[in-house]
This record gives sequence, C-alpha cells and structure tokens, in this order.
Amino acid sequence: MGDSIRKLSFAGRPKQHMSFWHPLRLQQVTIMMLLTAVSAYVLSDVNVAWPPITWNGLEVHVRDAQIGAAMSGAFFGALQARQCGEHSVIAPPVSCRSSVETVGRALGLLAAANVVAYAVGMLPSIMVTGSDAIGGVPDMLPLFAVVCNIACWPAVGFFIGLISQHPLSPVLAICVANALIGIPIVLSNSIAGFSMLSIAPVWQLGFPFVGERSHPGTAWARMVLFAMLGFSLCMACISVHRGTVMPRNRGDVRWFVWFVPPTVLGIIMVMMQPQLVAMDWMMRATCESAGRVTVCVAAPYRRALKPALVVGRKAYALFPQDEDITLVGLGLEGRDLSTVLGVSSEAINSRMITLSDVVVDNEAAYKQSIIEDLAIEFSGMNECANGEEGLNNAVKLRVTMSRILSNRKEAGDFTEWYENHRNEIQRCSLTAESGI
Amino acid sequence: MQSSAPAVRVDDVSFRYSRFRRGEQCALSHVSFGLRPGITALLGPNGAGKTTLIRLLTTLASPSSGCLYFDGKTIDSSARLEQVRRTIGYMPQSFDMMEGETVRTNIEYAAWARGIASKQCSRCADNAINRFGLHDYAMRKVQQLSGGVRQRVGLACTTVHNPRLLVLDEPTAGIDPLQRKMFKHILSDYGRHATVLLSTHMIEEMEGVASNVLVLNNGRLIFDGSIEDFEQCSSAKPGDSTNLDSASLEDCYESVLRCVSDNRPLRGNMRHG
Repeated sequence: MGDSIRKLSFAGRPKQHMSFWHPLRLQQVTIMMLLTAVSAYVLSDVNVAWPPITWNGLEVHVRDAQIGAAMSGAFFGALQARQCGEHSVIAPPVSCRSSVETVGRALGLLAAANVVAYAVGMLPSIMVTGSDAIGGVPDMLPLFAVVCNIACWPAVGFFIGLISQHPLSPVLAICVANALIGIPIVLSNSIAGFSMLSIAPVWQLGFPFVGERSHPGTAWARMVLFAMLGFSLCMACISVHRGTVMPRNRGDVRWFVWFVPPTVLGIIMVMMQPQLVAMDWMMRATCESAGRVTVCVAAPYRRALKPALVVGRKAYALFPQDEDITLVGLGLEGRDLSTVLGVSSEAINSRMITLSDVVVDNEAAYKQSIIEDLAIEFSGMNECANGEEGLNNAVKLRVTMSRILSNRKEAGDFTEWYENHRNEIQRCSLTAESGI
Repeated sequence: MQSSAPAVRVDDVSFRYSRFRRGEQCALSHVSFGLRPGITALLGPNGAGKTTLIRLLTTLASPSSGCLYFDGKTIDSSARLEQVRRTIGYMPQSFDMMEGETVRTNIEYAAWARGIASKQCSRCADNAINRFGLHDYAMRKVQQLSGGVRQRVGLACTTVHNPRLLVLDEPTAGIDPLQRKMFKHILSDYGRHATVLLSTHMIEEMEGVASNVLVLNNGRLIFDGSIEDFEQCSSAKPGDSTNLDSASLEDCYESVLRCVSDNRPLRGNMRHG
C-alpha cells in the first residue's frame, strides 16, 4: 500500500499521470470510428470490384466509410454525453467547471453532427430525384422519402436533447436514430447504384443524374431487408455499449468490443449498396433505334438515350459492323435484358455492348465517355490493348475518334484510313508508322 | 467545530411537473426544513418525492414555488449558481465514470472538473485515495473494480473538492455487508465536518450514522427531527434512543407512515400533511 502511494507521489509515477489530460479522453471513440471507417472502406473496395461495377471513384469509399463512422460516431457521441450527464461522478452538472460539461457535450454534439450532415445531405438529392424522375410532378415515393428525411429531424433533436438533458438511454437513442435514418436510405436508393446515401449525391449531381421510381414491392422488400439490417446494427451497438460500460472485469468481451462491432458495422454499411441487396425487378427500359444501332437505358435515365444514340450512330458509320448493335446504357449494367420490360427481342438477339457507367459533369463529357468505349469496341482494338505499344495505339485511336466526331470534315479521311488499316488493327499489328 | 446554522434551508417549496394529457402532477408540496451539519437521512416510499427533492437540493431543478437558501442566500444569478455548486457533491445511485481509466485518473479528473487548479489535482487525489482507503486500487482501471470499491471511488470523486453539502442517493445499494460497513464508517467520518443528506430505502443504512431524519410521503414532509425524536415517535416501540438498531428504526418508520395514513396525531417532531 505504501509502495502504491510512493508510486503515485514521486518521480517514479507512471508517465500517464505526469501530465494533466484533457477532458474525457477520446482514444476509444477515435479507434472505434477509425476501425469502422477503414473496414467500410476496404469492403467498399471489394464491392467496387464486384460485378456489376456501378460505382467508381474515391467518393464512393468516402461515402461508405463516412456512414460507418457517422453511426459509430453518433453512438459514442451519446456515450460521451452520458459521461457528462447527470449520473456522472466525474463531471456532473453540479460541477462548477462548466467548461467540462460544455466540452463533453460539444464532443458529443460534433459526433452527432456527422449524422445530421448525413441526413441533411440526402435532402437535395431526394428533391432532385423526385422532380427529375417524374418530370417535375411530385411522386409518392420520393415525396415519402422527403417526408422521412424530414422525420430525421426529431432524431437529431433527440440527440441534442440527449446531450443536454440525458433523458433516455443512449442505446435507445441510437436505435431510434438508426431507424429514422434508415428509412430514407431504403426509399431513395437508385437502381444504377446512384445511392442517395450520405452527402455523396451533392457532388454527384452531374449529367445524367436522375432518380428512380421503384416499384412499391421493391421498396417494401428493401424496407424489410433494411429493418433486419437495422436490427443487427442496433444489436451491435448494444453489444458495444454493454462491453464498454461494463463495470466488471470481463476480459473475454474486450476483443469482441473492439473488433466485431466495427466489422459488423462496416459490412452492414456496404451491404446497403442497392444493386447487391435488392434489384428492382419491375424496372422498365427505354430503347430507341437508328439504323442498325439500338440504345437502351433504364427508364429513369431516358435523358441519356438521345446522346448515346447520336454518338452510337456516328461511331457505327465510322466503323461499319456486320451486325446489329445494341448499346446497353445507364441503369441496365449487369442486368439480363430479357428480364427487363421494354426491351425488344431484336435488341436482345443483337450484339450487345455495355457502356461504362460513369457519372460526369455534363452531356459532352458523357458523349466523350461513350466515344471512348465505342472506339475501342468497334475498331476491334480492345483485343490489342495489351503491352505498351497496344495501349499507345488504343489511346491514339481514342484521341483521333474524339477529334473526328467533333469535326465531320475529317470523318471521310478517317474512314478511309480505317478501311486501309482494318486488317492491321484486327491482327493487332498496328504500329506507329501506320500514321493515325 | 460544526456550526448549528442550517447549511441549506428549504422554505415552503413545491414542485410540479406536467405530464402529457395528464395535467400537472405535484411531486413536492410545501416542504420546509433546514439541513444542519451532520448526516441527515431522507426516508420515504417510492414516489414520495425523494428524487425530486434531491434534484432541487443539487440545483438540477428549480422549485415551482418557494425558495431554497444556501448559506442563507438564494440563487439569483448564474455566478451564484456556480458558487453554490462548488459547495455541493452529489453521488447518484448509479453513476458513470471513465471505465477504461484508472481510479486515480478518475479522481484527478473529478477534482479538475470541480474547479480545483490543475496543479493541485494530484494532491487532492492523493488525499481522497488516503481518506477512502483506495491505495491498493489507485492504479486499477475502474472496470476491474467490485461494486463496493466502485462506490468508494464514486464517493472519492464526489467529495474530492470537499463539498459542504454532500447528497447521496442509495449509496450502498447492491454491495456486500462488509463493504457497506466500511462505507458507513467513511461516511460517518465525513459527516463530522459536512452536511450530508443520505437518501435511502434501507433503514439499516442510516443506523449508527444519521443524526437527523426526514420522512417524505406523497410529496409532503411528514417528519423532520433528530434520530431520537424519530425513535420516540413510534408508539409501538418507544425504545432506548441510545441503542437504536435497524429493527427498531424499521418499526419507527412504519409507525410514522402508519400514523400518517390513519391520520392520527404523531408524537415527537411531526409534521401534519
């Protein structure tokens, strides 16, 4: 006992007590959020590589990682607030250093604010989706999604109330908030993976961003699924809560607390990718033909139909093919077109070329992405795009195609060049001397 | 030496709260008493208003009517509120600490949170550790402690700034008899130089430590007096006031409640609701 006192009082004291520490150390919160975010990021990476590839770019990872971090952040925000609550003996409201309370609650508020940003970030995208999808006339589904989004505000208020008054268990707060936040997610996922999750859609509002009108059956199926996922999430949160505040020496739950819940949270977040969890089997396609070229896109993306058809027709003229071509556009990636309403049997029996699913800033950029796809596909160069020289040629061909399609005068020259070098291209023997 | 002037005076205090679709409910009705130095036990059945009274005394709530005087003055400004709070220590029945931190760290933090200068926090923590016999646990994490030790740590955190008014809500609930005995010993020692309000259901918790008793029933104060008065008020067993045990105190308590419910006059320092 005496030794203990000496240890505490003199230079031999453990280092952690040498300096005064800031209120309510955050390492637990930070680690948990970091673990959740990283696991969501990694799983998101796996998911991006999983066919069908519908999402690209860092924002996807950011979004996926953010959701997990937001959820666990909110959870720990509540815990943080609780430690500064009325039932605390370390920083109770009867404390005279009011900054303690303020700091603790502010930290909790910041964590909860992440959830707020997440919920609020969905609002504009849902509005755009709603008006775009139905031509400016409110539709029940997006309208309902907006209402649900607004319903998140009580959850936000609840969190603020929790932080300031500590009226209910933080576990209950998490469950309520998760449920309220989960509903608009379910209702606002788009078919092609342009999920309204998080704030990502705010910077994804480029062409041809439009929303979907899901079949009510699909919406219900998703809601059931997400209810189950939400339940699992709540269970994970409760496990974390119990493990974290457990006053007894339970070493066996420690590894569980620090490893399993973040992983579970990460998996759940990534599972919310709509194309993996619930395809809309009632989705319709819109198709249009010009000559031997047919373009099909999912009905909500009909704005993308005309530009794709124009470019497809030009490309076909430059690289005449011996067969009918169907360009499979936005919203139909990875789908069996025979199961999609609105696609003719002729289109299904023709040669299908799937266009890259990219989100771009404007229509010109969208056309450019189609040109690049078709230049390689129609010329047969995709067979040759191996090795340094093959890649160089492919790049040159793309550039040339792009230049030609924007300047019709050169089209005749290119067609002649293509006919002269067709065999070389198809034999993968195109060289720099070929003079692209 | 203790001063006989009440540290806290509660003057005709009522507290009402609204319930959705149920209208107003009166939790406390015209309660008046003074808390003097020493240990005062607050007794009463569930729903009697004990928790509400504790919230008022710890400045967590304001009365609907009436006044509370701390050292003879009311709370009329935020500065005054902060000043009063510096003199209060409150340990709820179940409380939160930083589970992943050591006992010492928790106490140091509690000291800092209660306005003690950073440089003095370590010394205050040492004092609290000595006072509550926590040497062997100082470097242990809170989550590793038993219920009894945890309560002692909670009390150490609550009293690290030497509050003049200490409010304890069921402090020994759920701990073993040995720890309870130790806790009572610590508490009676602390009660020599401070005003302590001990809210409890368990009569034996106040046995041997409380010098005064308050009994609440249905939001009304039905008894306010010394432990001897409390014992004497029992018509069933007017016992020896110098040798009170939990059985006799239990009888006293039941007798007080019975008298009130039968609307019979009470002996001793009774209040008629």
